[in-house]
Amino acid sequence: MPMDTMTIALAGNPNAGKTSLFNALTGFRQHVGNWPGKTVEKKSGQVRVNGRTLELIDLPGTYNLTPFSPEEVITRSYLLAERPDAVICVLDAANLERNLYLTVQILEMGQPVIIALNMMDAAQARGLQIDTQMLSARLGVPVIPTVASRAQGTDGLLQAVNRVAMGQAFALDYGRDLETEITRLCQIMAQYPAIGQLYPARWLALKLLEQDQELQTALLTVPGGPALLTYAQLSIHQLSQMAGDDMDVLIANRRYTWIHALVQEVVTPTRPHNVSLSDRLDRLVLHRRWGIPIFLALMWVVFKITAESSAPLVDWIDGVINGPVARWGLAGLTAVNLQETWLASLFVDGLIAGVGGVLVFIPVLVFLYLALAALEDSGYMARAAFVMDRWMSRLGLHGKSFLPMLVGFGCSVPAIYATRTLENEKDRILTGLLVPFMSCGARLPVYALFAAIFFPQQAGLVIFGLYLLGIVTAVLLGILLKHTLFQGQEQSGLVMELPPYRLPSLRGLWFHTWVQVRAFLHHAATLILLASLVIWFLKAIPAQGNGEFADTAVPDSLFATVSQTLTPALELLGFGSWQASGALLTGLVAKEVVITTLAQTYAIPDDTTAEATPTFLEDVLWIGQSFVQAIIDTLKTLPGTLGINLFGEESEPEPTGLMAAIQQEFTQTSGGHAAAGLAFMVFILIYTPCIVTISAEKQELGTRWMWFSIGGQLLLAWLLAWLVFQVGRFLLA
Amino acid sequence: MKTTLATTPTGQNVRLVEIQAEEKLARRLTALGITPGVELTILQNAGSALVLAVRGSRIALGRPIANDLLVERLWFVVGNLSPIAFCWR
Ligand SMILES: Nc1nc2c(ncn2[C@@H]2O[C@H](COP(=O)(O)OP(=O)(O)OP(=O)(O)O)[C@@H](O)[C@H]2O)c(=O)[nH]1
Ligand SMILES: [Mg+2]
Repeated sequence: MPMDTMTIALAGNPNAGKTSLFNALTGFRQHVGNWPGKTVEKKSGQVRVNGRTLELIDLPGTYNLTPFSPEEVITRSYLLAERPDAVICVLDAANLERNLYLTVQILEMGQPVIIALNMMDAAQARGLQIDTQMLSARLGVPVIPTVASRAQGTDGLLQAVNRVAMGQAFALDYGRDLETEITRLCQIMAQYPAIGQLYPARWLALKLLEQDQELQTALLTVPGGPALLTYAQLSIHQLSQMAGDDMDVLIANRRYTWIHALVQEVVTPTRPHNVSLSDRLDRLVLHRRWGIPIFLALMWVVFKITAESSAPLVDWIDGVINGPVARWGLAGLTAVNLQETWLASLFVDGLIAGVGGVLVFIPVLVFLYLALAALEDSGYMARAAFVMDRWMSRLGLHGKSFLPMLVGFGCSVPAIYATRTLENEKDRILTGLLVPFMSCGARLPVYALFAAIFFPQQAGLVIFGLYLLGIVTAVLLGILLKHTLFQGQEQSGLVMELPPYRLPSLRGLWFHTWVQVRAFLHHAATLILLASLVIWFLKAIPAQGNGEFADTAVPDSLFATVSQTLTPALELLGFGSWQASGALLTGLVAKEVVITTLAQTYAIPDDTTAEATPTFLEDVLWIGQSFVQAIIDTLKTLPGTLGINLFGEESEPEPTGLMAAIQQEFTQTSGGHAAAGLAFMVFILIYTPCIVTISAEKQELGTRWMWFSIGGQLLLAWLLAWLVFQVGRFLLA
Repeated sequence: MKTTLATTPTGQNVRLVEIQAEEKLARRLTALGITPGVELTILQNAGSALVLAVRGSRIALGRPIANDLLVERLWFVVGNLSPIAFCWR
């Protein structure tokens, strides 16, 4: 079968390691993690082997090929309609029996199959000996052992792909009663070649007996289809009278019986099966009473680490950008004689303040992503969903809906797409509406800044509180929606696999964190950069007074004038200044832009000019030294996150120019109440996260729900911020 | 003795007798290996959902679903599941 390009699909159960294998084969960096349902859309990538291009398609994981949930539909229609040249079935070797169920169905479709027997390391660790030759012989396809997370076995797999032949007829014995009916249906199909061209006969016979609605509908328009359907009905009638079971349950049962026998033959346990360490851990983690406290404690540690341990590194980057980098840039401008022009102002006020102000928070995000990656790779995600099932079932949702919400702590956009793994449409919409209340990584820098200004002693606690407030708001709003718009919704219960716990590998953690940080850098270099420039220009254009372009008092600028129109609405919240309203307005683009805007509008006087300018070499040395110091300081904070204070009270760092400016402004607008800072953070938490989220909502929920979501978020943000400010004024006085 | 899965205590081994759930749900369950005749172990039965071991994997099931599964208790139970006992071994 010599071809220049081959299309090869990766199919298998959720969490079997398809994406890991895809990444290992193509060198891509698609999202992997230890919970079922990460990949929700097919992704493709290419690899060249022996002068031939292989187009690999990573499919969403499925347990079955019925057309119910969206990811099953994607996989099934891809395999049926696109007919890839080969399918690599990725199997979890430590869980062979369940994994073979899907494989057998793909074999029955008559697709050319290669089996990647993945997670061989895990199977070995569990003392399972697998006879791959026997497995290969019994299924009639090549079986290649792999360890995808360490890129082992990929060469063998690619060689096997090169040699793959057209699918051999695979047939398992469904028992006399079923086989009789299958044969009969196949004979009828033989009379209608149109059907035979569309579907493999035996597979179609089985699907008709299983009463597959999609195929039933499709057959209505095919010559001979209606006749075939009538015969199928007859067969079903006859069989169910004999067996007494539902047909689909009966067929699944026979399939599993055959697989069970095969697994007995192929797998030899080398030691007696015991309750695993995973199960014992689950007794504690999933405990009825301890489950939620454990979840909260883990969250507490995560946010305390992100908020407090990153502080020294944040200061370091701040120093580097505002010190050496700004000086070098200005020196460059001076060299080409532009130092006194508006270009210099664009550089200092626009780029350094705007983009630099956001880049400063990279360490916060690194810590957040590291912590989330650890939760994800360890297998805890699915447990958190289990623990939250009790709360979620009050919303008429179930625990699985909490998975997208957890993803939302990283970023709202993939979280909205992750709702696709939910089985029912209303669950998907309701979860999609609640996901934005999970505080994403982009909101964290704003909290970090404001918590440092207004609550320097309790920054970690305040940030943790905001995350909790997001969850509680989502839950309460969910209850409200359930009793109004989503009334009478059928309860679809929780069915979710719990993957075994795994120790996250350093490589995996780094991989996750780097992918996210890279995305953030890309974001900073595009959207945030653009926003910074636009804001700078808006600030440079005079709208009143008698300034000129790039030489206007900021309060007279177009930016301030437009923002000013919104301030009356924010006065009751304690931050009725054009700076705050301008930041919230531009924050609709992305939450990092809030910082960009604030940094630009409070044009901070440069205080570095007073000192003698250091040389380039001195600068470089200083950068290195202060980095080492920042790392040491970070390590020192780690015991503190667990409530141990080894190093005595830290002296509070001097607030920087920006922080002091914000504090002063808020003191003015609120009459000196720190509650205004809290109200601002609450507003940031609740209102629309960013334009990309809006477009994801539009795609997944539809335009109507998108507007509902935007409007609702604004209203709720205003109400909650108002409440926080008015109540906080008295409590924090 | 036939009972529902929902009322089966932690640590008990059972054999699934019948799935009384509606068709769509039944398909999801059978795909996961929860088919009539299979042996299940209840690893956790507390709160709003259960955890079972079936054909080598761990599945969390909501209580309403467990109510639809008719089971027959087998005579033996799994040993001590306590995490503390594990630490002491
Ligand atoms: N020990 C071990 N872990 C693996 C292996 N392959 C993948 N993993 C891990 O298993 C988990 C799931 O891997 P993924 O590649 O995301 O699985 P997937 O099949 O794409 O999952 P979905 O997209 O959710 O359907 C990740 O935590 C991987 O690091 C392997 O061979 N051995
Ligand atoms: Mg995947």
